[in-house]
Amino acid sequence: MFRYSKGTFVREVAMLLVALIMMLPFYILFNTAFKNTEEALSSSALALPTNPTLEGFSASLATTGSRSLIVGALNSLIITVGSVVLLIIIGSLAAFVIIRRPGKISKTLLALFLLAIILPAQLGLIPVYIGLRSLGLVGTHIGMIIMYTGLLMPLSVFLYTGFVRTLPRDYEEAAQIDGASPFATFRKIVFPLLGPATGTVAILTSLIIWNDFFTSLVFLSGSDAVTLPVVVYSFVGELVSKWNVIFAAVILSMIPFLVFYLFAQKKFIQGFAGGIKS
Amino acid sequence: MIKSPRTAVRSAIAATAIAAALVLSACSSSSDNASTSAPASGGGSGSAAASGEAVTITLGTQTAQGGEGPYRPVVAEFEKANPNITVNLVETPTDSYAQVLRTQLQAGNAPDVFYGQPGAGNPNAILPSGEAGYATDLSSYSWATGAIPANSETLFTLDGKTYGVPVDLAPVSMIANLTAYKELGIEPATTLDEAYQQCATAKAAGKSLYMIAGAGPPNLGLFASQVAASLVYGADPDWNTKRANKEVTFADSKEWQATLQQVIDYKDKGCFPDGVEGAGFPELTNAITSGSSLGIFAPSGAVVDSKAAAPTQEFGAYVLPAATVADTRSILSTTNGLAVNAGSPNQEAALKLLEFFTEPTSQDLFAKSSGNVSLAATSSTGVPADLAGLGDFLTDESKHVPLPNLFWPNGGVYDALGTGVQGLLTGQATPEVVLEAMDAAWDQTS
Amino acid sequence: MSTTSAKTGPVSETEPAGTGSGRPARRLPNRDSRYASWWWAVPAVALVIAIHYAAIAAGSIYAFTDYKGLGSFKFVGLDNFAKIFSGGASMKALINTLIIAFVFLIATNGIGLAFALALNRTLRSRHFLRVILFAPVVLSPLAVSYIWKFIFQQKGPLNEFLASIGLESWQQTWLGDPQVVLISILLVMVWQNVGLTMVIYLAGLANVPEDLEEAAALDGAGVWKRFTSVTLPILRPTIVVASTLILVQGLRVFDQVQALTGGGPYGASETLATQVYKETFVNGRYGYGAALSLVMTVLILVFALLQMGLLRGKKDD
Repeated sequence: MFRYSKGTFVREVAMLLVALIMMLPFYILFNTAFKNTEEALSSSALALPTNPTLEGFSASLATTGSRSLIVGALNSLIITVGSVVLLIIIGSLAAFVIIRRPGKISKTLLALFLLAIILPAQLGLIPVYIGLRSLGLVGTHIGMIIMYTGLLMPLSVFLYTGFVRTLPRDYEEAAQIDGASPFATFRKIVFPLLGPATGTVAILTSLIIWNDFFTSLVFLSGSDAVTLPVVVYSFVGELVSKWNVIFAAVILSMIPFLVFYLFAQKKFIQGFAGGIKS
Repeated sequence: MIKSPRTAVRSAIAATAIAAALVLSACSSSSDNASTSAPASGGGSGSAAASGEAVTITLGTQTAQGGEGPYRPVVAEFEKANPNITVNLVETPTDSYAQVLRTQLQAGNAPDVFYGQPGAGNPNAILPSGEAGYATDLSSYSWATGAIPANSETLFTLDGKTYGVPVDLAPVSMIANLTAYKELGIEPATTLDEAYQQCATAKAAGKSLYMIAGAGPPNLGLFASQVAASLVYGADPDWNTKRANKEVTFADSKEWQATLQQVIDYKDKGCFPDGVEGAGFPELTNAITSGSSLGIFAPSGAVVDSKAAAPTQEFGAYVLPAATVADTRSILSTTNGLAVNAGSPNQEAALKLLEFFTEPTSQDLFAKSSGNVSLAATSSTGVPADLAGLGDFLTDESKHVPLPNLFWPNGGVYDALGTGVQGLLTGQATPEVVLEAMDAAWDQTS
Repeated sequence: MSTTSAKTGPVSETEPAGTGSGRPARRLPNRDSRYASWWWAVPAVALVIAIHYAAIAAGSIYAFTDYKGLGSFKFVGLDNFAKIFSGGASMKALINTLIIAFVFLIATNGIGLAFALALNRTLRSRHFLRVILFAPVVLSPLAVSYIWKFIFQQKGPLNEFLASIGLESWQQTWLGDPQVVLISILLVMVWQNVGLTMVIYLAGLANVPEDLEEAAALDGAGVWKRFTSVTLPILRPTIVVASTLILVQGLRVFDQVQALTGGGPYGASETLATQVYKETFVNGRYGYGAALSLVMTVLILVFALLQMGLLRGKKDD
């Protein structure tokens, strides 16, 4: 009964049009990045460049040091990967315990994590800064990793607990009958089974950390560990009217995640939809 | 959701303990700042390197708008003269500089030498930092006290302590696109009526005489300050002091009312383009470099920047006219300053850098790249070519006034002015409301 | 049996005999402990307490002071809160926050659901469309704001486009007109997030069995009746999740507003979050900013819990 009818065709065309319109900002972004500075200002945003040029890109890559896109990307990578790895390990362990040992403690901890997801973190920003400073960690990769791990831990735990609930205990019980220790059981049997949740956590948290702007602005400005969003922001502050360079920088900063997304879009979409539902 | 009261109490106790620890560390960090350990940025050896030992210090400033940063040439010269000291120049975007600096000062890893505006009327102002103990007292150094012009003393000293030094003299004026003026066959106006006529001429040609960034309160505040320079401070140069002594208020001041009304008049007479309320800095820069607007309002360094962005056009600095030439005032003051971080472990090297900036050759070099006026220049050495349009407004002391908001007690007043002008442009506010807001912001100082 | 007291508070309680379920004390508690040790949760709990709760507690203390971000401070009791609720800029910010949050909630969920329904079955290009429509979600809000700032310029693409199709009268000063500015901001927010809700609803719709719908169709139910009696009930939990997520995001919105208008013109687009930022980091009134932040936190908590309660409650009947 749900065949491809005329109505369906109309629906399809309509949605394709909608998608086209939704993509217009992308079109404008890419279009303008390939124009030279003057054309970017004077020509219509929808008109194609008369002489496509990589001027914007080379200008945006020409800066060095703490204003270099490459340095920013590298720092973002280090910090993101470091945080995500910790979030996965620590989060899965905590979630597992909470679900496998139901009771008052479990409920309390769960509430603790759930509440923390909703609480806005700005209130605690300066105390965290002071705390990290007294440990000598401000402006370092490690300091940022600790901070992001702490900030996103509630999300990680929340996602993992949702998934662990659905895991049958049979495998673990079998392993225990065989005499394996709890930790070995977790490492060899449970964690691999948590694959989908790990994927979700990895995608969601890496997206948030990679794109985070305000906290890294406050914590990292001027240091050697500046992340990509901050570098792009300082670009715009400087090159205020060179839209082609600004957009080139925006594209370059977007590419890592966009490529990741295009290759793994199924995982992304499943991760968001599935993870958030749980 | 917490079912067990026992667990709740324990969690509360634990959380409070940790919180208390954090708060205590906050209190102690703010009071014994001088003994904090090495900051994360700018490393450096423990004790000062008077000679020999290699030291790296950091100089933190806000980014110039599109320019190369006038600090670099001076820093390069300093490093040549002091081969054992390396200076790390860190530039932060202007709109986040103040907050980043404040956080860094708070947590103890601010640059060894940092930029700030004199007085207390801006978020990045030096005096509040000094008051809180974050800027080194320079009053024992004659090179420091000697570098401050007499009329700016209150901007750099507080309670007998000197907290910073100026690096140049910045005129604030209208930056005119002379090529665009020539195309319309006119020259920058010298009286208000002439200006109004030019507004109409420009509008008829599809351009606008003036352009301001409706979406950027600081630019609006600057514009209003230019109008106020003639209307308020030309008539009464001591207005700020009177306000500080509570002898006058913004709301009662006829001159301030006239100033804000003037802004509305400019709009009504078509001096601004359509959509000025939403214009940001990109539109501002585009307008002047493309010639679609004939004038913008900025520190005179913008002449240099505009020339760099549009080398085929001519630019110059001119004063915003009042009703008559005699009433017109331009703005000239020490708007850029440097201070030494009191918590820096590299005090000697930092002080050396600061001293270097006060030397006449450095001041000339700095002014050359910033497009401002060197403090070392006197009325006899004349006015830089780019600023020729300002003529004797620069050299004659009776014809210029310092930037008003430098003398205001906190950044909120200037913000109220800039945001207020936004409201005037959109019709959301009236001059009375804006002036009251400025008074309220002023009185909040504590 | 490894429930020895740990360093942090909540985990140090030894397990009571009747572990919450009233079962007779049997092998059960011991069995559980064979799966995992409470120690495993310590790092996570410690991090969350330090970076969320302790920091927020410290920050909240500031809400009752006149802390300026530098130097010393003194306690001022409820003064900050009095200032907030006495009207003026903060009340406007509060109202704007609520407007933005609720319109965002309805628009993003409504359009997202519509897209999901449209894409759900038999469309040939559904996978392609899904990828395209979800793409904006992975961009950084900062990048998105710059693109839209460009688009919203007075002489920019949007106004240009409107002129080209003869709708010149629809041209606006998108970011400078107080009547229109909230709409502009919402446009950007919805654009970026409608793919997210669409994807969540698609996943939820996948739970609606085709046979059920077929049966309803065979019984003569029209498209709308099928939707309300078959699809919607099954979709309820998904609606709860998507709505709560979007509502909280909307109440907290900062990046887009800050980048697009900074709260202007004249406070027309100021939200609680931008106010917090401005007061704390620009004006240095950290005590007042902390008070605002506290108000915002309470607001978010109240609405989030209310909404979850409302929607969940309906489901149970």
